[in-house]
Amino acid sequence: MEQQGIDIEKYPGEWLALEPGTWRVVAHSMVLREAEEEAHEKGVERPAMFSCPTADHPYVGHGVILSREKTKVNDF
Amino acid sequence: MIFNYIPVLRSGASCRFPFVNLDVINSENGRLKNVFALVDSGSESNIFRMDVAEELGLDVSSGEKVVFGGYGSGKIDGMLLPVDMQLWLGNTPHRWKAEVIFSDAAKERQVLGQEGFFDQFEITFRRKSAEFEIS
Repeated sequence: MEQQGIDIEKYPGEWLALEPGTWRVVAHSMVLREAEEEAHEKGVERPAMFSCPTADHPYVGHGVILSREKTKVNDF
Repeated sequence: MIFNYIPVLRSGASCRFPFVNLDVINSENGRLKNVFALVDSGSESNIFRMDVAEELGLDVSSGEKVVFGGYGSGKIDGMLLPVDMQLWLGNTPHRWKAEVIFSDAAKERQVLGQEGFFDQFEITFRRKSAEFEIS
């Protein structure tokens, strides 16, 4: 299958519905469900949902937990 | 199973990254989202956007509040919640329970990290060949 590049500058902050295998953008929206439903309408049953970055800068790593609250919270 | 690095077009250039698509599942109601996330060995945790939690119908208020960060001094709020995850290796589904940080900051990247992803598989990166293997 042809594998295309994902043009992240074209869809800042949007959800992209990608066709598995080709990774072609079949639908896009700021709303996850809307992009997914449009992909379904276009015949892509299980689109892979990709969150397009809002900013065009290199990614340098993420995800070190600095603190955890042991009790459950209801005010977040 | 071998996965290809996926080209991302940015500033007129193409960079390749190790993305996979996998299912994130709320086992209480059966809702599932197929998300495309970066396989990030540098991340301690799995991190997804908050609207994924909302679409799954997860009770975000029942989670554990966490603060996380990366480079620099920025501190980011998130909610840690248990979910089921499922990755298809060929025709074989591999399903496990994992904790995920849900945060609006994940708009920049949704990532699969050491706890809850790397601890489930043998993962080998072959960047020069633009492929990686998960088994």
